[in-house]
Amino acid sequence: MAAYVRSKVIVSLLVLFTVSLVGFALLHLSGDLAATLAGENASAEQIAELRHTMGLDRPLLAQYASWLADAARGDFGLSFFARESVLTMFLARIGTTAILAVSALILAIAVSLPLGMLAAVRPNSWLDWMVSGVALSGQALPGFFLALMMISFFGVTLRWLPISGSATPLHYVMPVVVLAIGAIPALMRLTRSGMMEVLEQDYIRTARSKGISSLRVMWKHAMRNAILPIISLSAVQLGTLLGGSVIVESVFAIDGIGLLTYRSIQRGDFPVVQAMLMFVSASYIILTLLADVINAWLDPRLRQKSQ
Amino acid sequence: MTALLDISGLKVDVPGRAGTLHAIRGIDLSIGAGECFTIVGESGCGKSLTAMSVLGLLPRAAILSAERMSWKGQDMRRFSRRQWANLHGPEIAAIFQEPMTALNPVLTVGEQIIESFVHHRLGNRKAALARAGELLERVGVVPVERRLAQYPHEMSGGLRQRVMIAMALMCQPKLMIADEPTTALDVTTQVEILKLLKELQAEMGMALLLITHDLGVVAHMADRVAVMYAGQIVETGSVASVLTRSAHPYTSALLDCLPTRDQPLTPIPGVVPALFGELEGCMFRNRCRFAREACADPVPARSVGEGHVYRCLLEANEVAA
Repeated sequence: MAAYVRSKVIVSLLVLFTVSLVGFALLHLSGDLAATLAGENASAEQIAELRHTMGLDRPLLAQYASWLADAARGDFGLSFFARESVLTMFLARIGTTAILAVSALILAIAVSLPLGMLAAVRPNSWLDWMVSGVALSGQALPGFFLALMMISFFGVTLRWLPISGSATPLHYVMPVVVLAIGAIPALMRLTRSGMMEVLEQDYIRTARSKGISSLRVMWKHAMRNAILPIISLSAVQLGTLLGGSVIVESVFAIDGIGLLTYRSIQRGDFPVVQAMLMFVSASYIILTLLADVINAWLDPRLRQKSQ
Repeated sequence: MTALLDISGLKVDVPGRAGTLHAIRGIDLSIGAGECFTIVGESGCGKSLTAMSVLGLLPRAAILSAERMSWKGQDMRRFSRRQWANLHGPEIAAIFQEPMTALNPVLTVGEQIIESFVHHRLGNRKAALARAGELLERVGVVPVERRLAQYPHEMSGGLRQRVMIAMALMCQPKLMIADEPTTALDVTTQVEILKLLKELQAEMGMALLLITHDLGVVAHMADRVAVMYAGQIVETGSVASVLTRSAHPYTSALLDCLPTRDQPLTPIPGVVPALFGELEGCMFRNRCRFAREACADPVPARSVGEGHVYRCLLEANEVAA
């Protein structure tokens, strides 16, 4: 197991390095950062001077090397616009986004697992059709539309929930629900198809022939096998959610990672964008690694293969 | 002696897009305490579905009907879910054809063996583990301590089938159903497993319903045999009587299929008929060398004495001649 984790970590670091290099290069080639920074009325001399003071006239690799050296020490530089440390800006927002992301994923799993399981036990029943219907409409409904409808109904008409900001736990209810609804369809369908496949297996028949309760057959025998791909998918979804949702954060006026990234891209705030890129890729990599480890722990066959 | 299991007129239909498949078309079956009963036949003759019917584990799509289906005099057709659960383990247990896939890959062997015992409240975990240990020792899965902690993929097919046997014995069943228990194993392992089953049957005094396609297995193991073809029992009786005085051309053809050292084996020409739609008469007639026109009409069952019954228009001694 230790060797397995070690090899995965090495690969992960290589991936992270590649992402940082490619990201850095693309961001610098995507436009003239000095011109953006200097503003529309700046003269050619002013732009050239700014480029020199910012070090943007140095070779790309040299710029990358100094960025990497700083980043390795946890210094992601200053935002071009906010004149604030990128790390400070990030830390101020990650809490909000993480609460949203984790709650949305937990809600999504809490809904998807039981419904997907029930649909798998009774294929083509009304429940199965309902599950498929919910999955389909969840996928078809754009997040911004759902968010606006919820605001107008629960926020404006019923006045049950606050509609903007992140001051109290109540503020999180609607954004979490919208994010969860985005994650539910894939999870629910994977649970259903995975369970249906597992329930066809010989060892389920064996378990049934032992006279144990059907709940135990479902949970202990079937779910333990069907959950492996669900864990992998959940890891990917949490990664996406941690990157922040621009739509949900804008509609509910939540100052999180998604909105910060979006604004920074718009303004060409390169240090912030590069840092966010690193954060999102690092979360994906760590979460997939975590999913692999959990799966190996749950499935002895994976454990053995890795030795 | 009253039978443990008493079934008559068992039918299983499987509706599908191509029409309804009449997989089992009215069979009678009774198994007494402690006896070894075998069902023999080709793939698709309905022998496994018969086993699943008795276990109450038919596929969801299958529709079962029977004139009588009783376990120790109780009507199995009216069993609730709970009654089935009480039956599985202490009354009827089963082992299956594919030991490679019949055990759950993510649970330890020990966990799977003791599950039924604990669930039926025959004792606590400790008592269950002790019994599991004794049984594993008995079926030859040793060293017990290490084996209990292993996962199925760490064992060979033969060992896994032994684990299945130990698992089935945990609650001291009155009837063990073995659905082609040795088909997936290599020949030497087959012999060992069959020998073990035979010994255990005697030791535990349980009945054994053995499903097989191998008449050699029948000869070794069984007290009584039913030969199935196309969803019907074409001949049944004591093993001695059926194998030495086979009255049905199909039984006799199966016997000719057994490889012997000095004679080339004779395969049965043709294929098993598809069991859709209205089925009348003897289903073996298009492969039978004795077939005549009257075979298309319903064929009555005829007795040769002492429970030896066959379904054919031929006289009992005509096939052998």
